[in-house]
Amino acid sequence: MLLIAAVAPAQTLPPDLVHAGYTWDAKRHQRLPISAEEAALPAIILRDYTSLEYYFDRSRKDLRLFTTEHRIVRVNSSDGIERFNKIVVSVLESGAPVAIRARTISPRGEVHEVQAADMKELKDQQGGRGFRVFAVDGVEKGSEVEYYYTRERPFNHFGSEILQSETAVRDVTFELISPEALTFEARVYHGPAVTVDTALAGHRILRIALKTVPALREEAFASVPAQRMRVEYKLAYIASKGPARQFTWADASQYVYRTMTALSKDDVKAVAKVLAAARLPTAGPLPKRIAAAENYVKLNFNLEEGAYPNVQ
Amino acid sequence: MATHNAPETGFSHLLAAIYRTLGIDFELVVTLQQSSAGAG
Repeated sequence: MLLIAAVAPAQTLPPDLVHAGYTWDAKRHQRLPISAEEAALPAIILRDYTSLEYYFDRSRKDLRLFTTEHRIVRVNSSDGIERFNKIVVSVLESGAPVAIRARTISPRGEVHEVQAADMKELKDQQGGRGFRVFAVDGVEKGSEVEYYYTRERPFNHFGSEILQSETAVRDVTFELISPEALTFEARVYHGPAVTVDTALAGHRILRIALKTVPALREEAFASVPAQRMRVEYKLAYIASKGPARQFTWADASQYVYRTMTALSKDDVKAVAKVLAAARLPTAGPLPKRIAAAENYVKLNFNLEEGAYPNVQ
Repeated sequence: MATHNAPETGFSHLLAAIYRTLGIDFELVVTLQQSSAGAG
């Protein structure tokens, strides 16, 4: 494994991850064959492999989430090169592990692995954290760009993975690996259902494998994100908790109720301040008092989605 | 004149907190809103 020691703190991935030894076909020197039709596209993705692994870390006694992603992209035009000569990898804010390898195969069959020292890390425009961008040099028309990496992701008990983009894809695989004690369920939108694989000892794997996924183009007045093929998954059962279903809508509504109605000490102070300023009627018919409170809030607060949701 | 910013959840949270502080039953607020919506 090639670690980006120059840009990331020295670290290693857990050696017993299912894909700890993941690698590409090192003997391959020729590009994967494509049809004349595919050669006319700016770019085509020839392999799109995504594996999520829920991993129980015995030393931390905690679950962690890792992902291994592998892509092979044929770029046919300068537009295609522009789009795929950078590798964008999301990282945890803590400066999390990324084990990445990248190479190009030219139309003449020259294989060039991008060395760790040459892998420039570009600063994103907002200068923010959250992802790293690696430049891949020497990409020409007709080149293949191939890369794979394993990284840790923010832990969540549910999530979704988009399987379709504006670039056509061949050989698409998505899998979700968990310890056998955790039963995940998944639903695929605009695509076939996942299969369940329990052949790997101690693990349960949900998988979807497709030969092709067509490109989905932007279209006026259409909600393209809603039309994309995607897989949504959630943790449904935990062996130690028996047959009780986890993360249900009932749990969600109770959570929303708690966060809506619970008041911290600071909330109580903040509300007292608002009420002192509002001078709402303390007597009179209830509907009028309720309307007065609502009117005061609506006239004195702007709706802004990005604002901090606490009342303080 | 609006003087503060809040996201949608902030509005609900603040209103719920105000009603609670004033001792107004939040369920009554919802019922009143539903009946006035129905009447309108």
